Amino acid sequence: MAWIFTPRANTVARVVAVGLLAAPALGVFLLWAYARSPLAQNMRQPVAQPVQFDHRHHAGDEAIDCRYCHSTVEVSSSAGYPSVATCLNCHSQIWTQSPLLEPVRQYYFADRPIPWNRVHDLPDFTYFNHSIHVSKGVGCVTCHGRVDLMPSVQQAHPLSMGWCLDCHRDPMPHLRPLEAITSMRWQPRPGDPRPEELARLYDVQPRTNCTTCHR
Amino acid sequence: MPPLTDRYPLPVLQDPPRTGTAGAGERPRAWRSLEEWRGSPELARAAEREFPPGAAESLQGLDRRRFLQLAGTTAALAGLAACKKPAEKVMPYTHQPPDVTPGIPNAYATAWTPEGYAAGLVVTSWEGRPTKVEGNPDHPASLGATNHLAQALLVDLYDTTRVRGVKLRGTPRSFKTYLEEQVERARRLEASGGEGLWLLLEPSASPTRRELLDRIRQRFPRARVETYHALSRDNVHEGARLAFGRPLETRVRYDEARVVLSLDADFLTQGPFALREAREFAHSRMPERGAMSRLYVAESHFSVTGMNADHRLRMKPSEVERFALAVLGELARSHGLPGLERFRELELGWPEKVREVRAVAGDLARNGDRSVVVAGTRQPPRVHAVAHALNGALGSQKRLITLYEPGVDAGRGGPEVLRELAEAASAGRVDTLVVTASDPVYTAPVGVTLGAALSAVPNAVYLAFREDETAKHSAWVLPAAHVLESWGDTRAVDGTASIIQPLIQPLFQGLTELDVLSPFAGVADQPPYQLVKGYWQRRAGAAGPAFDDTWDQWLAVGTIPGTEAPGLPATVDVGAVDASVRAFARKPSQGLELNLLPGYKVHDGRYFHNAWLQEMPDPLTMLSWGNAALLSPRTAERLKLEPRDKVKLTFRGRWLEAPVYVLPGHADDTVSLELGWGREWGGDSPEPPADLGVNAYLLRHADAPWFADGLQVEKVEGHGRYATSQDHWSMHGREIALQDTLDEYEKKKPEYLQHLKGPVEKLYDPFKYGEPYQWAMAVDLNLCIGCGACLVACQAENNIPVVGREQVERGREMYWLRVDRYFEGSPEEPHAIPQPMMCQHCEAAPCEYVCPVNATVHSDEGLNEMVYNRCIGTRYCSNNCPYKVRRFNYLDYRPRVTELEKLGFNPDVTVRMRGVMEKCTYCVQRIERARIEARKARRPIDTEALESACAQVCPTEAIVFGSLHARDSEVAKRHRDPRHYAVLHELGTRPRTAYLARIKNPNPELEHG
Repeated sequence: MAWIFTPRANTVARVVAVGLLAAPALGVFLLWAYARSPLAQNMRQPVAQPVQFDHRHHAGDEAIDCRYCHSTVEVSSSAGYPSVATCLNCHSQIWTQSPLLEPVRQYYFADRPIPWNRVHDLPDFTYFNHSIHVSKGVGCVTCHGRVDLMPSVQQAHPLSMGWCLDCHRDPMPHLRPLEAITSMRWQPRPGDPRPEELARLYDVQPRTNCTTCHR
Repeated sequence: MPPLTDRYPLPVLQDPPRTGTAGAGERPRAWRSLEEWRGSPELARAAEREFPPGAAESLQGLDRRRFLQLAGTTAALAGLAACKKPAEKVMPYTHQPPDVTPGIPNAYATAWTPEGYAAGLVVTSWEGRPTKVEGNPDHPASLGATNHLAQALLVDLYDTTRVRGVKLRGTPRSFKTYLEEQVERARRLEASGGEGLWLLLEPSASPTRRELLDRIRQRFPRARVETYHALSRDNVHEGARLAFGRPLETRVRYDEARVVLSLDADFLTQGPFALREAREFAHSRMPERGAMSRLYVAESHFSVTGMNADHRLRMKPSEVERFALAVLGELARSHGLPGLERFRELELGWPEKVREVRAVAGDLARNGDRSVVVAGTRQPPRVHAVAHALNGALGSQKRLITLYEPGVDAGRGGPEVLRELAEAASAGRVDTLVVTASDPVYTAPVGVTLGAALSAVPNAVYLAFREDETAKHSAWVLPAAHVLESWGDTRAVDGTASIIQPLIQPLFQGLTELDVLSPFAGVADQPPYQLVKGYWQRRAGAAGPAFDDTWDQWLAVGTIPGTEAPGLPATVDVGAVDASVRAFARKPSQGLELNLLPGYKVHDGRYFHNAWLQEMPDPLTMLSWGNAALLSPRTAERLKLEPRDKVKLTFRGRWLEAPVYVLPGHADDTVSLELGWGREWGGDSPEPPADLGVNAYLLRHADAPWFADGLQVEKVEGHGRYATSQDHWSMHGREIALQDTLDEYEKKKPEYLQHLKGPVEKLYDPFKYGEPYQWAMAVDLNLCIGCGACLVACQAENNIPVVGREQVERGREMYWLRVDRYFEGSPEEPHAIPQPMMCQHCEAAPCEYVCPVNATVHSDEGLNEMVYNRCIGTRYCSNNCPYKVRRFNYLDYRPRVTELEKLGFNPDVTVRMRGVMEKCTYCVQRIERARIEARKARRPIDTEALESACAQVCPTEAIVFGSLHARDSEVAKRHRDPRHYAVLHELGTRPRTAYLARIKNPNPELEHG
């Protein structure tokens, strides 16, 4: 009578057994890893917009301050999106015939808002306030990345709760002088006030209670 | 299988034996319903369970296992599909309005006109969307408070069932066509001097409207200009006419009063100055400041004012008049009050009430010019005249009362007007009729067939908010603008004028009353804004930019300075009062009396479609989504009626069927019914169109608008339906809402309620008061009148869903703040204690220990935080909450919310989904907003200016909010007050909300013997 199981069968059985045991753990691990991957967190994915607005040109080459368009960032929870009229402040004078700006003119003369696609989309139960962050020395680039290098804006950081809490627990590495709050290229130089001094100066006391963000 | 608790009895908290209930046996000291008072076994069983029977069961027979299967599958599938969430759009302005900053709400001062007079408002607006109504602190009739009706204004504003667009006999027309046609018709009417022109208007104190009406009267001398309100103030004006020779409005300074006798007057919630008078009354009830007035209320049903009475004198509604005369006679006879000599002979022979009459008269006389008598709008003019005569003789008319010229048209504004109109219209004598009064066809008394008469009027114009009964019979139906969409002006009782400014463009092309009247006044070309501004420009005698600045100032403040009217001097014509008193023929009230009440929530029926008000429990009966026939326990027993039995009420040959509600403390042999219910519920509603309550107007007669004897009650088959939440969230009759007499309190003062405060044994580490702000609340039960405004304000602020009648019946109402009503004493003569109850923010919170996912945790500032996104819906927290203040979203209430209603949501508060627990947060969104503003400005939070929604709206400042570290703040003071106690102190939860015991000031003469 021939052997039903060849000697290799032992190895196969062991591999199968280990595999069966490992599969759930691996599955959980993969899910865990996926949830923390840039893909699941919507990171580094350029978002198409109804108007091909290029931050590289406006914020980079022309060095227009962020607050020219995002004008309520220092007073309101929302940084604010520019009204169509804001675009026309300049573009009624320059690039008045540019085909790239055709949609902007159309929206303006039709008195319709431009339906931008949101890039930094926090969950609706999370209440983020821009004004408190920029008044405590957290710069635009800290959360939004080098927008001046982005052809179309993408999310540079995870915007996950853990990422928020890292800074709320230890804001020191992320503080900068208020003069440089919108600067994209600012680096601490010798002689600049140290983070501890900035924290004292700006009265930085981040809170980590749930209701700080969830209400 | 029996529940596990039957097999393994759990250690249950043993209540300490109660004292002071000798003779009552097991009866609780304070109780909520007759079932509880009797110790009904069903109720006890229901109270053992955390959730009311039925609350935890899912809909339509879907059992738990099947639900979990479905939910699991859905989650798995949803997980696959949801790799990418759809991109959210951002819509910036095309042109940014200069005053609007996205993310920062604006507040605008305006006013609304309950009962024709102004109550100042400050309305919060987010990017042009009104989301919250508050009172205007600078307005004399508001002082920063509103009532429950004003809080619910937004529901009407965002109601999709409103009338949209102008219609002529059902076909859409433009407003321009309407104007042209009316201008033409006005021209033709002018020839006949206005013969056949009728205006039936809502009472209003608007100066601009008055000017328009003057023009109309000039142009059409034979036109009839009448005001109509189903709950008219005719009796007030006629009573003053009787006493003073002309109609006047009375304003009482209750803060200086020592004794108040209310003759069926619900002055704490009704009347054009009620908010202010309620606050002043509360100021007269502060034992720590040595002020403690005494309130007698003679009434039939249990009103909110009756809840606050030291002595409620229960009597049939028709007997109030007799009581007033008895007090008058007693004061004239035994106390010899000057000016009342001619009433010495007044002898009514009322042996049953002689003790009360003597005690009340004695108390009034002792306190002289600091005692005041007020009469209710339902009582006939004679009662008002007697009250004026008494105040004149006592001297309080000089000290406590200010008389004002009525701002509204004081004439007959009640059912009598409708009868004349119906007669004229049926006879074809009315050519053009303009109606701006609220649905007169529905509110018309028996015998006035206004609907048919209206159909006969060729040019009947109705300014309609909804497609109601009057709209069905009118030729022209114009969409009415909401007050938050209107330009206008108004005055308070004391004359203070306010401009009504719109918060939003009319959503459905709504028109104001001025729009409708302008073609007849010959100013059809002027929109209301121009009319109002023009009027005030002429009055101010200024023009151009200088006036524009003044105008802006008025709009910003919400009142026009210098418009207060002086009080009028007036003397009571005792002879006229005497003649009227002599004419009083007391015919004994036979059998049962029918007693019609103004709707506490629906008013005359105009707020019937307001879901917030529908769901709000009535302060006394705790009824929501309907009314019921209210009877006293004794009368119910005599007629062999049980609660929820259906009865047929027959009155003068007409009848209706209503469910029975046995209300402790109700007058015997009287059946009370609230007006304004039983309308059709149209539109897309949370309920299928059903009979919400019964329409009591079907029993209302023009000669008996409020009460009359001759009612027959007969039990019929079947059971009536109503939803009452009085037994929901029961707390086993422990020491929850406490009340004491002034004497007792003074006696025990140093150690008052020692067993309910101070340190307790601790299992957990004590709370550390490290952070600079320690949030806390204090509720002074002595100031709380139980009006329920806080409950609606909380709903508006925190996006609390309406659940509908069926869900209320199952005990699934979602109120974060409920106002419990306890009774104390016997079912015949109980005291009522209202108690606002919300999350107590325990320092050692039982809910926090049992949450398996840390969805409810404690903050270092003393807040018990609820994190919706962590909650998985085990409901353990609610089970472990001794205060029963946690609410679970059994259903998803979001899909029912229309796109329009979403505009009214508070963007600062998360809208919760199904399966999530929620509860009072101490309005943490307001705390965080204040914190961010303060931190940006590098200053501490102004904890005095920070208010929770309930504290802000409270007319009597019964609820205060703030930080315990601010030692001089009102909240910290109240936490040290000898009257303060912690509810369920013995559990060691150390709640952050302190309650202050309610103090009664009974008359010793009536207390004993």
